Amino acid sequence: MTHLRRYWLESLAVVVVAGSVARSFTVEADVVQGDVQRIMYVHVPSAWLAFLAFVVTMIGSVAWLRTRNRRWDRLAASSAEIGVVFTGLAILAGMIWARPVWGQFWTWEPRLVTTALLFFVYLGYLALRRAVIDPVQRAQRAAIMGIVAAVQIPIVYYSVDWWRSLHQASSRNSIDTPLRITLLLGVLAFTFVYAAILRRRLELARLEEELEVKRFEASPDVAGAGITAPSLARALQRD
Amino acid sequence: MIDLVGAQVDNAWWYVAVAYTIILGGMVAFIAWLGLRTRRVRRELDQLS
Repeated sequence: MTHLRRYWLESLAVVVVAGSVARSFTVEADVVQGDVQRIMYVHVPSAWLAFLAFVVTMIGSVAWLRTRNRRWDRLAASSAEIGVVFTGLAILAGMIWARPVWGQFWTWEPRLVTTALLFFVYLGYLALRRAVIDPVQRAQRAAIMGIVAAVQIPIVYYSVDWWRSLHQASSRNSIDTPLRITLLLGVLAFTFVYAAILRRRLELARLEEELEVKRFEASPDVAGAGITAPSLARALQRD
Repeated sequence: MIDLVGAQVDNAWWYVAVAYTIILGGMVAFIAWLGLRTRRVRRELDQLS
């Protein structure tokens, strides 16, 4: 019972994902694409989760620049990592769908190219965070990149409308109700998954920060300490 | 015309199974990786305190 109380969000996410998967396997097949269309019920929610994660990164970045509160930086970093993972998964699932429908795994069309760019830019965001030692500078640079990178989100989303190409246009208003309900259930399930993973990732970010400070305190004479110490001390004053 | 190619896929369920395995498996692997990282950081913190 204690475990259930502690992991209520994770439990809820598992139940909704199980329901969503069961529904996506049993709902009627698409009349045009057949069963292969069922891939959409995980591909689209993964992409939705990635967008949501990157928007949260942008919000966290703006909030950090305004308040300098480390919690916002942790939120931005944690959410970006989740977004990168699910962008990668959405791309892979899309490639599996594309093979039978388009006849090839990959093609250089606008939606695919902009999504790949989105993936690599946020991968760069994570790399930037690892490259800067000073925690305040790291948060500042990452916040700027987190805001600039968010420009890509509407570009990826509307790429299917702006440049009509191979990727099908948004099907939000053109699919039958049973299929739409299944898709929305998937989106809901992945939203719970995002919330559950974010909670765990934020806890990890807090612990990593604590470890960073403890490591510094344990060996203050290492190279770079002269630069890191003032910022760490400054950063510790805010939480 | 492109969509009609999809309707002719005989082994559609195989593709569906692969895609679901990638997404759900990737999700589980990511959560497990987070768990491992958290455990490692906690252990290091215990050693330092």
